[in-house]
Amino acid sequence: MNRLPKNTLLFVGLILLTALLFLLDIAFGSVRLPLEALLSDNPIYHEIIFNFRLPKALTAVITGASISVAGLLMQTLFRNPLAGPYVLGVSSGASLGVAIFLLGSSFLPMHFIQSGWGLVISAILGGVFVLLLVLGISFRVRQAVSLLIVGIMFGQIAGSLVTILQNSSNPDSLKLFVVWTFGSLSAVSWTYMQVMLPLVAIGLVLALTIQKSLNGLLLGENYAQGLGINIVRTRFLIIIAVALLAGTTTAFTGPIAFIGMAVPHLVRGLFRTSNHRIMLPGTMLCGASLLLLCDLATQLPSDGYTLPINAISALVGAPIIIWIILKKRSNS
Amino acid sequence: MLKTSDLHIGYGRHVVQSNLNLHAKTRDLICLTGTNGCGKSTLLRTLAGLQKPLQGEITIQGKSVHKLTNFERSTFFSLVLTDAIDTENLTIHDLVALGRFPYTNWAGSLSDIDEAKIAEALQQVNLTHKTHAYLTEISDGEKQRAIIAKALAQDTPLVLLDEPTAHLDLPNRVEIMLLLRRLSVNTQKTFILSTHELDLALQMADKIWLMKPQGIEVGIPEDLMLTGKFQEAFGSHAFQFDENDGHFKINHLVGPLHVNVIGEKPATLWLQRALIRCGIQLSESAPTTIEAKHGSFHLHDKEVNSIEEVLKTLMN
Repeated sequence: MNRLPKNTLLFVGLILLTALLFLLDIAFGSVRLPLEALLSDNPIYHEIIFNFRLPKALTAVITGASISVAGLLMQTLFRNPLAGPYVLGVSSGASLGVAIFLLGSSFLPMHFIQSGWGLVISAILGGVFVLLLVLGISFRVRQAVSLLIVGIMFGQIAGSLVTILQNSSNPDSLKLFVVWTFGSLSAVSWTYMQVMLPLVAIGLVLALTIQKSLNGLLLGENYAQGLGINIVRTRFLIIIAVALLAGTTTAFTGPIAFIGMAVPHLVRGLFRTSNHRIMLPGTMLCGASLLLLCDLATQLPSDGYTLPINAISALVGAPIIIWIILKKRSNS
Repeated sequence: MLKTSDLHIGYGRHVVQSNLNLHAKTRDLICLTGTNGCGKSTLLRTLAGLQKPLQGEITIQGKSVHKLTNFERSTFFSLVLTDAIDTENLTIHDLVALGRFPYTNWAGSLSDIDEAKIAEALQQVNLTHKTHAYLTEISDGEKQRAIIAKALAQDTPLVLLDEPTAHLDLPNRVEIMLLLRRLSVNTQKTFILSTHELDLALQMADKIWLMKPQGIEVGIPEDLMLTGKFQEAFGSHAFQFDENDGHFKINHLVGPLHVNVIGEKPATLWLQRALIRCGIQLSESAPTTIEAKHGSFHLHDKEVNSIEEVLKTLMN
């Protein structure tokens, strides 16, 4: 394998890039900190860095890696380059789950609603629900663009249901939900991190353990079966992994557009491979870097004002989708 | 080695073929042929374990195929299907490496033995020079050979191929069939392939499984031709199999015009073909005689230089 050194070089580069962006993300924020603040004992600096900047940067890394891996898994499962948690409505499903939980369940005790678990479970259930629907339809609708439209329609339906729920809910729950939809990377405190990190870690480990079967699926399900792969079990594990990754991160940060779909394509172009053994770690690193970069971009307007992360991620991700469609056209 | 007994195949309640008792021996090249919709793909899919038989049993080396685990089955059968493989950024090496799937560990690491098998398979299909090319960069013929190499690397006693020559041009069709012929002799494997290429199947197969709506005729190509089974299976008024060379000939519409052709081959041969194609009958007692010589044709006291001009003259 004479391509191995090139890959090693790329991985080292990506790790360094992620580390650099991570440090920059801690250093820059709505409040300008002097560089020496990182090492100083000043309690205000300490508070900003450890209880605000660090969890936020960590969330960017975790979320970027998770939604990108979820996108990669969905692209392999659907054999469709345009699949991803946001475009196929999984994020919308998660939103609907959260909305039903926060707005529809006013009889639940408030402290349960405010703990991380309820949010996560409802987001995962909502995500899985839409994922199963889309998966069912994908057996009937093979064409990439048609499936995409179906996904967008599911997103719209989920959005409408959320609006209806909002109209008929009490002000306290409504406020909680609206805060969640504005939710950004900085919404994850250390307490929430204790919930998010283990769930996401399980999802990532699950994805890594099925990488061999994922490679077999690249040839389509019939060939995969011919290679001895248990299709039903593999499909089930992929759905669980996607739900854990996309559902959990969406629950805490709100839906983040297009990153999950775009990053796997960047990695394929970078490494010139479809092998999941390289794709999975590559996607994690690239996803983390890209979301850190997006988060840095949200800080651009200084003096205490930040842009919503969703606006920036769409600005970065959507052109990549257009580029992919144009590239597909010229190939066929 | 492979045997079916009282096999019924189909989908749900729809029985496509019933009472199939087939067997395949080591090193056989078996061509499965028949008209569209008579169940060729269904039989292949059932043999491969991709779908369950409605009734009956398939055994390979004495073991029931539908009781094998996924892993065991993948060490008995390898597949070449009509499903399009259009994965981008997949090298030929990595495609063939997927054939080693049943033998690698959970991480899919390739051992020296695996690499040797991959190299051997690529060499058998003459694709060694394309080892590191991407699947999207090679021709359709090369792609089909790469997929066959994947099946060879899987190291199974049986290779099932569903229309391996579809979508290929004539040279590539012949090349793929010759390749399979060579492999069946050299590799101790059994190849079962479905095909619409009757001419090629008749010239290459050790055995033909001729599928008709009412069952399968099994035999060597020559016996099936001699007993008229082919004509029966593909029975149509539009063409028939020539008794002299076994190729099929189209039954053209016949007009009232008669001519007599004399002269030298091959000019007479091609002239006769053109006349038959245009519905002009050949007979020695015809009023018009055309004499064909090298490069010129003589009729109605005129010399013309091409068959096209002969036809024009006759039509007037």
